[in-house]
Amino acid sequence: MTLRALLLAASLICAANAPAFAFDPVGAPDFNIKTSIDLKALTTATFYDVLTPLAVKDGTVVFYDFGESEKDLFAEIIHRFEAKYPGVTIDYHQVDGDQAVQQLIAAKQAGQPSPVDLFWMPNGSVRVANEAGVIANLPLNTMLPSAPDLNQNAATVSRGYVHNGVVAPFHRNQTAIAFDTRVVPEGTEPKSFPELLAYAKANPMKVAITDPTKGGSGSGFLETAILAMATKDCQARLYDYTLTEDEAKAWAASPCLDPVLAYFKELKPVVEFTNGNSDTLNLFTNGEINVGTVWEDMVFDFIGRGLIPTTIKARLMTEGEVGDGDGAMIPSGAVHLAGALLFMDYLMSDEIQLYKLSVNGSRSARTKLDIAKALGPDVVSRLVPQGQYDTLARPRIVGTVTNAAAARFVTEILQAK
Amino acid sequence: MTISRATLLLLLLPGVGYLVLFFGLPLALALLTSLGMGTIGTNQGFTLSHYAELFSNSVYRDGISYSLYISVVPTLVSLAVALPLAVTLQAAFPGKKLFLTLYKAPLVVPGIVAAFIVMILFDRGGEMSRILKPLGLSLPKLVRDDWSLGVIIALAWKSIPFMTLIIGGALASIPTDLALAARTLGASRLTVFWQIELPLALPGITAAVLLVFVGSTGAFAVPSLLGPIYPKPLSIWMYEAAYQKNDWGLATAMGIVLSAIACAVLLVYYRLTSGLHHATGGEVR
Amino acid sequence: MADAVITGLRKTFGPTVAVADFSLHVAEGEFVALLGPSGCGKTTVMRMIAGITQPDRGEISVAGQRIETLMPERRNIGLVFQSYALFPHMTVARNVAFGLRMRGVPAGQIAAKVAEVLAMVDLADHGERLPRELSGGQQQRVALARAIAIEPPLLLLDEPLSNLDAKLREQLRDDLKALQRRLGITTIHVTHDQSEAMALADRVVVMNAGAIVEIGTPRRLYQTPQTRFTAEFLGHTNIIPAQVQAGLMIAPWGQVLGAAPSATGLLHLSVRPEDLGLSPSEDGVGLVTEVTFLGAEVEHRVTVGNLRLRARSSGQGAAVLPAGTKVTLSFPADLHLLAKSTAP
Repeated sequence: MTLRALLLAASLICAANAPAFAFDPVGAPDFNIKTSIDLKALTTATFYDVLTPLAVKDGTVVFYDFGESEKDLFAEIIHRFEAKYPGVTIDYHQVDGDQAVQQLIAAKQAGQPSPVDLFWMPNGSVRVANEAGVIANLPLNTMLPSAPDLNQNAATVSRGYVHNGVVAPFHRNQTAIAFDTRVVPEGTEPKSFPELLAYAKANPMKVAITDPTKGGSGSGFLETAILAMATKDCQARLYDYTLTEDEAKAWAASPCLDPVLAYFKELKPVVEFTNGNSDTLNLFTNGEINVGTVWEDMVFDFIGRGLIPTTIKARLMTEGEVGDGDGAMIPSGAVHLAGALLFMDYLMSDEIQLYKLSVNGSRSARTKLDIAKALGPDVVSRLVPQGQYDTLARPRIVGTVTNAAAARFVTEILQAK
Repeated sequence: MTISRATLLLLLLPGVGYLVLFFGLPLALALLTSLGMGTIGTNQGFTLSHYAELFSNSVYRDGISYSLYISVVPTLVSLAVALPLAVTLQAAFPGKKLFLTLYKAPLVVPGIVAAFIVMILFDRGGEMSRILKPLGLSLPKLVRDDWSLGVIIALAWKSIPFMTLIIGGALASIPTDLALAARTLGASRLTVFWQIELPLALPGITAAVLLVFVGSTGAFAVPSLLGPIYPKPLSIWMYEAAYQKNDWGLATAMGIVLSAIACAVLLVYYRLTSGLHHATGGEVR
Repeated sequence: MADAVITGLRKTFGPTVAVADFSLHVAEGEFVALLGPSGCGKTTVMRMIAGITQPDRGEISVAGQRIETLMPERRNIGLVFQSYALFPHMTVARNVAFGLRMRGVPAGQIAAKVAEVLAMVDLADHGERLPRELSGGQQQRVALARAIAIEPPLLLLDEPLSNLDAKLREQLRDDLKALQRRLGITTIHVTHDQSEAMALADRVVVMNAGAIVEIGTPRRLYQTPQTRFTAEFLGHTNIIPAQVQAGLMIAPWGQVLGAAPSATGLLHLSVRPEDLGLSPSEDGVGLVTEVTFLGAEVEHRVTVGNLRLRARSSGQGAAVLPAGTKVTLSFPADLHLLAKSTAP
C-alpha cells in the first residue's frame, strides 16, 4: 500500500509539472525504436506540431485489436480520428492477442520490422512481450498530452508486472459479483465473503464461480479472496513487484494461503465452477444461477446487447475487488511511429475515454474525468454503483503470486475429490 | 523398362518431399524443442527437464489420462453406433434416401459448433432442460460433469457419420454372394455378420477407428467448452504453456507425449485385431 | 437323398413376371437341368428353392417336407454359386467345414468329413491353402465340396462352370457328373449352355420368358423337340415349311420330303444339320454359299430359294464342296414334325 501511495504522489508531482518536459526512454539510456523523430527533444507542448505532419507523410497506421467485441467501438473511434487528422488512415485488424505477441517476437528474432504500429494487447502477455523486447520503451504514462492525469499504478503495472509505463492503460476493467434481482432483490444480495458462503450453502448450485485458472473473473476472485483473508503480515509483499517467481511460489506454498484454501474447500461442494467468463453469464441467462463472479464491463456489454437479462446487477464485495485492464503499446519494430503516437494520444483523450465507457462499460485510468456529468442513468445502472467503485476497487496483486496460488488451488481444491 | 534409382527418387520427390518438409521437419523441430535444443523460446542445450516436469506434476499426469479418456471413449461410442448403422444401411428400407442425407449432417459441422450445439441443448437450463421441465423431467448433468458426457456426445456425434461411411464402404465391398452362401450353409443373419462380414470389413473398421481416435487426442475446443473444470486435457495445458507462459519446451514435450501415446494405443489395437482375425476363423492379409 | 416337388411357383418384380406358374417333380437321385436364355427365370427359380428369393405363390417340398416358408439357413440345401462365393479369409478346409460347424458337428468328425470330401474333388492336400491361391477350376471344386459336405438332400448348381475356359469346363463337367452319380444326390442345375445341360442332365427343363417350354431327356428333346424354340435352342436346326398335298409333304422348291398321312395344310419340319445331305448336281436347287472347316466337322451353308440352311458332315471322308456349287438336298426317312406350327 505504501508503494502505491508513493507512486500516486510521484504522479501528482509529475502531473503538476506536465506542460513541458522532455521524454526519457524507459529502463535504458536510449530508445529501442528506430525512428527519424528526435524523441528525446519531443515535449508535450511540441507533441502535435511535430508529429502531425510526419503522420500525414507516413499516411497510414497499422492497428491491432485483440478484443472480441470491440470492432464497432473501434470503427467509430477510427472514424472520428481520421476526421480529426485528415491524411492519416488507420489500417484496422482484429487479431488473436497471444498469437499476435508470438508474431511480434518472431519478427524481432528474424530482424524484421513489426507488422503493426499500435497494438491493444492482452494484459497477461505484457510480461512475455516486454521481456522479449518487442515493446518500444516509450514513457506513455507521462508523455501523452491528452492524459496528464493517469493513475500511475494503472499506467505502470499490468497483471502485477511492472512495465514502468510502456503500455498505456486504454481499457480498465473491474471484477465484481453479479446477482439476478428477480430472485435476489437489491439489498438482500451477499455482500461479503462470509455472506457469499452462507448464501451458497443455503442455495446449492445457485452460485457460479469462474475457474480461477481460466477466466479473469475467476482469477480476480481468487486475488480478492487473498486480499480479504490473508493476514496483514502475509499481505505485506503482495504488491511487491520485485518478487521473484520462486519467492511467489514459496508464498503460495506457505500458510499464508491456507485460510483462502479453507474457504474454497467449504465453498466447492455448493457452487458450480465454470469454464470461463461467458460460461458464468450463460448460466444467468438460463436462469440456473442467482449469483456469479463476473467482469463489470462484460455485464454492461451483455445487457446492452440483450445477451443477459436486464435484471442482472453487479456490485463489489465489501472486502474490495480487484481490477486491471488491457493497455495499448507501440512495438519496438513499429514503422509509422508518428501516426501511432497521435492515435495513442487520441485513444487516451477525454472524448474517447468517456465514449467507450458509455458504449462498453470500459473504465478509465484517467483520474480527472467527470463521469457522472457525462453519463446517462441507463449507462449508470449497468455499472457497479459509482460509490462502491471509488472506495472498493483494488489493483491486482503480483501476477506470479496469482499463478502460484492458482496452481495450489488446482492441486488442493480441484484435484482433491 | 527398368527405372534407374535416381529417376525413381526424382519421381518420389514431390510426394515424399512434401511429407518430409511439412510433416517430418516440424515434428523433428518439436522433438528438438522438447529436449531443449529447439529454435523457439530459450535454448538451453539437451535436457530432459521438460519431460521431468511433465511427468512429475500430478496435474499434467491427470491431463494425460484425461486426454486418453476423451479419445478412447468417444471412439468406442462411435463404433457402437456406426457399426450397426453401417450394417442397416446395406439393406433397403422406406425413407432410406432421406436418411442417407440427414445422417451425414454432422460431417459438415465444425467441432466447435458441435460443442456449442451440445451446450445450447444440454447445459443447465438449456433447450432440452426447458422442454422437459414442464413435464416434470430433468436431464442429468451433461456439461462440466465428472464423466464428460457432453464432451463424449459432441465428439461421438461428429465421428459417427464418418465412421459409418468408411465401415459402410468396407461392408459394401463384400460380395453379396458370400452372405448368401453362408446362409444356405446354415448360418443365421447374426452368424453371417460375426463370421463373414465383420472379419472381411475389419481393415475398413480399423481405418475408421484409427482416424477417429487420432483426431480426438488433440481435441481442444470441445473439452474446453463442455468439459469439467478439472481435469483438463493435455491439449489445454499445452496451450497455456505455449501462449501464456511462453514455455515452448514444455508445450512441445506435451505434444510429443500425446503423439507417442496415440501411436502406442494404435499398436495395441493392431495386436488385438490380428488376434480377432484368427478367432473368427481366418488367416488375414 | 430325397425327391423335390415344386408346385405353382410364381414371382413378379414389379410389372415383370419373372417366373409364371413353375411346377416340377425331381425324382430322388435325379440330375435335372434348367436350361434357357438369360432372363428366362431359371436362376430365380433356383433362388426361390434355396430361400434367397421369396415366391409370390407356390409350394416347394423336399423329401415330403414343405420348405418354402423356412429361412434359407434351415432348408439344408447345398448351393454352388456361379462366383463360387468362397470365404476369402478362411482356408479351403475351413470353407468346407463351415456348414458342418453351423450344424454343431463335433470337431473330430468335421475334420474327417472335410478330408473325405476334399479327396472326392481331388483336392486332398489343398486344405490349408487360401481361396485366392487356387485356380478357377480348383475354387469351383472347393465350392462343390463345401456344398456336399453337409450331405444335403438337394443340391443346386447355379451356372457353376460358366466362368471357366472351354477345356476346363469339359473336364469339370465330367468330374461333376461322376461325382453326382457316385453320391446319388438329387441335383438341379441351372445353365444357359445347352451342350452342358445335355451332357450332364437326366432330364432337361427348357425355359423361356418365365415359363416352362418343354421337359424331356436330352435325347428326346434334341431329336424330337415339340416346339420350334426347343429345336432352335438345343443345337442348330433347319426349320423347313412344307405344304401337305395328297398325303405328301412338299417343300417350297417342290421336293417331296415324305409322307404325312394324317396332317393337312402348312407344317414345319425340324431337320438337324447332320441329317441334311448334299450332292453336287448341275441342276440342283441349292447353292452353297459358305464352307466352314470345324475340325471334326465340315459345315456348308446352302441357300434354297429364300431359305438359308445348314448342313454338317463329319468324319475323314467328308466332302468339301466349294462355295458356288449347286447341290441337291436329301432328307432322312423319319422326319420330325414340330408339334406347334409356330411362326418364326
